[in-house]
Amino acid sequence: MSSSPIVYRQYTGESDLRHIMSLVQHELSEPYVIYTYRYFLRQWPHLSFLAYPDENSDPVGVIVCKQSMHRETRNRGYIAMLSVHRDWRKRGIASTLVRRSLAIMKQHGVEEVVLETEFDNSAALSLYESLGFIREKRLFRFYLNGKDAFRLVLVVPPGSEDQQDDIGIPSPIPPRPLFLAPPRMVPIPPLPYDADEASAR
Amino acid sequence: MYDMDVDLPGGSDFEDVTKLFAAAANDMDPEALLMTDTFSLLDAMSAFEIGEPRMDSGMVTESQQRPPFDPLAPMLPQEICWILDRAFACEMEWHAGASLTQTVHTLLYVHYLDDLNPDFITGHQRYLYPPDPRRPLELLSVVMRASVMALLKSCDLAWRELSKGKVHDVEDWLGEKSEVSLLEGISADFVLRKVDDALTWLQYSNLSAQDVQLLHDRLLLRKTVMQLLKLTLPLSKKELRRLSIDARVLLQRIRSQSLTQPTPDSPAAFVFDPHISRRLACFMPVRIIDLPPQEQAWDHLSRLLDGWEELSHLLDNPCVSTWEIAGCLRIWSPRHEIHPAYLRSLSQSVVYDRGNVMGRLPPMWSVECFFQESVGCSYEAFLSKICIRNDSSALWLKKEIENRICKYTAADLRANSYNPPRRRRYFMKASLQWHEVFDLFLQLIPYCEPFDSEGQALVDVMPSIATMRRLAASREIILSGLQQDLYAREEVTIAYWYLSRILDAHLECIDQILNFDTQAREEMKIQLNFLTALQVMSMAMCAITYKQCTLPYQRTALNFVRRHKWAFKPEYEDLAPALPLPDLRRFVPEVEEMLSNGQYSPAQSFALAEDMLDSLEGLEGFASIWAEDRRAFFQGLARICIQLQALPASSADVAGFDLRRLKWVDRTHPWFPDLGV
Ligand SMILES: CC(C)(COP(=O)(O)OP(=O)(O)OC[C@H]1O[C@@H](n2cnc3c(N)ncnc32)[C@H](O)[C@@H]1OP(=O)(O)O)[C@@H](O)C(=O)NCCC(=O)NCCS
Repeated sequence: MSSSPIVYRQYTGESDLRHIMSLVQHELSEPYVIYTYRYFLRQWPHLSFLAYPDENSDPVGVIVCKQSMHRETRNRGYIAMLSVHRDWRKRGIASTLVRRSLAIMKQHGVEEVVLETEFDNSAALSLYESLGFIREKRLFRFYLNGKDAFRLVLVVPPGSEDQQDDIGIPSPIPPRPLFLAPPRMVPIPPLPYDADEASAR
Repeated sequence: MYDMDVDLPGGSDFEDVTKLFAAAANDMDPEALLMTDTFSLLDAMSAFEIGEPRMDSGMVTESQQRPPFDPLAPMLPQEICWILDRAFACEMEWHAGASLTQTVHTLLYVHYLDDLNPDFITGHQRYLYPPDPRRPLELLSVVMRASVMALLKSCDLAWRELSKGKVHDVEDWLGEKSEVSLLEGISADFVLRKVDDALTWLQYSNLSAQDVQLLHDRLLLRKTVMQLLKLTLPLSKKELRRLSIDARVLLQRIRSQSLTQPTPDSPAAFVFDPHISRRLACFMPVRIIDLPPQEQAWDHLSRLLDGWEELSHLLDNPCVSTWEIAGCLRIWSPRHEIHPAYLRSLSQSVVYDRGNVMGRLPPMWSVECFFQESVGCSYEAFLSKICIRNDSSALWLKKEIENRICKYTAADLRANSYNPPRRRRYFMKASLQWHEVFDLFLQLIPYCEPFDSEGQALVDVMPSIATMRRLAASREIILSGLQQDLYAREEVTIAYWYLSRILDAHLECIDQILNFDTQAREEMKIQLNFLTALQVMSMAMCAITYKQCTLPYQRTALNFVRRHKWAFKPEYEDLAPALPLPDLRRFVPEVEEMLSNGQYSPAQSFALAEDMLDSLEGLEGFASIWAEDRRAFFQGLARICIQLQALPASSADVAGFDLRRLKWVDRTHPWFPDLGV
């Protein structure tokens, strides 16, 4: 393991997907289908970051997020996936990944950031709490295996988009990387349900 | 029996679209993603990969191959018993929240009921196996068939209650039937008659007396459980009690009997197929689960019976406070598990069903209790004392208050049957609603013209009765927050602080009510001591944990407002202030003042609380048959007080206390930490 500083890079495209999947899959009992990853990565590539031990190796950490208007009133960020390889934990990689995504979300006017995590994932809970998140509610039997989850939320005060975080974010960042054409929309009649977040509770 | 392997869902005229897809994909850029307007995360997540064993439930791996199932393969009586017991385990696991596909549907007879029908069994099938007096065909065509029908019908009856919307599909239970019949179209009485027929056949069979007894007990237990599920509203408490006691006797007997386990090559070993989902129309990928050991399944059934019996006792006690006490104890007591969703739905139906409360009472009964169980007089007497002026606004207010008391009382009682997180979210709403009632009482006061001091006292106290309901709701929000581990170390101090302020306000209301000499007095005294103890304990916890608040004030304030969103709702702005206001600015000065008081002693506070809880020994109040449970709960709280008396004895020592000694993880009490060495 090298002691050189970790390199953080924004998601650059489909070639990163394999690594992201293997990092995330490792921690899940039920795998996500590839479309779950694409759902986020194609729409919010700028909110996904990877951590590399050096320029030439595979990534050892990843974060995948989205950002959209919640009930048309609140600008809400959502952390969908966060994972750091076992051998690389406890050295600040996850918190740096979260801060990176958060900084971009702030530039896009985020008002709150939410996520769900298993009620007994103490590593994730302390990580997010050290960043100011609170456990807003418990979600009863949220997972397929019958486990409860916590809904975590970070309230972002207005005006924090100009606040420089303690990490150097190159600024200004274009709202979206240029290589990305927006996903094509095909109009079809609306579905009878609307569930754009894993939990509508 | 139709052949499931050939009967493809959707018919067999499928067309191969691979070429069409390939052609369409040619028009797409690499990495392009086509999305429709309403394409949601859920849509993305619900796709699955064919051939990925964790998602593709249709895939059969080598090790999962099993011989084809023959529903008429002869069985020994004890093999049948074993299957019936495991079928109970399936049913209980469904009640515990698993899907039918993971449980009841794994019993293959469920899918072959027609094959078991004696009318359809052909001579050919009859002579496929050599005649064996130890394994009569009727064990399958009569006993098994009736049992499976009764199992399915039991699930159907429970399903009907569960799907009333009082508990939540997917969250509290799983309603998905995967297109397998639960005998919805067959009457429960018909099924019960089949069970009776089986019992009769058994009586005249040539089986050994022991086998007859074993089978008889299981059939009868199945029948009794189904009869319990079949009871309709309003529930008859007599029937509830009779049937649940009968079932318990049977269950005890069954648990004491020893059964020979089927050998691995017995046909009984192949009667349950955990992978059945691959042959059914399933919406979600189905995880294969292990059914619980039989003892655990019987424990589950026993809890279901307890619940029915408890309901029968509650129906004996038309008293809101008793329902409240019983409901809270269930939530508060760490040793109680939460009731299965079916019971939680049924209890809610009993609280309110088509215009009736508690089975047979009119909604105005809640208003009666509201006054009777606080100031101790009937609503009629109350009205005659407060003398509302005959004025249309006043009459409107009176009516509005009555309506709301009815509505909110039922809602409060029902909420005790929600799952704990939902219950907490309900109280966030309830605290506002009760505050609105308080505000309506305030508006009514100017129209009251009591002619004596007693009447005046009632006028003065009436808003406080509503306030007590609000404060009880607020208290539950914080206590359940503690119980559900919602507070990080940073926040826990503030939670205890605000809780103690809420309890302070509640105690003031109780003091006011204690001026009335009523039958509610003993209950009020219990509340007074209990809540005072809790208040003192909360303050002491606040003092001890204060130094762990290290976040910058701005973050603390943001989180405080979010955490207390329920108390900051804009609706409060149009009403009289709801004290205590959620005012974070008072937190630091109040705690610092306490800590700078040289006399203040956290250890002494816990000793004081212990004394107060001990003094409740022997008092019953409105607890009725839950008095013993409540006493046990108070004793549990007192034991925590004894532990926590080892905390610093003076505020000066608090600074040196090592907070890591407070053990929150796996603590014995839901509201307070244990103290480690
Ligand atoms: C949770 C996870 C992403 C943390 O990654 P990480 O890089 O080790 O975390 P960091 O080093 O950035 O830790 C930041 C803070 O989190 C907390 N933390 C991290 N791991 C912890 C652990 N095992 N126990 C307690 N606290 C922990 C600490 O407060 C830490 O701050 P500190 O180092 O100043 O004490 C990693 O454990 C993981 O991948 N877990 C599996 C996947 C997962 O649970 N993802 C989150 C679901 S949303």
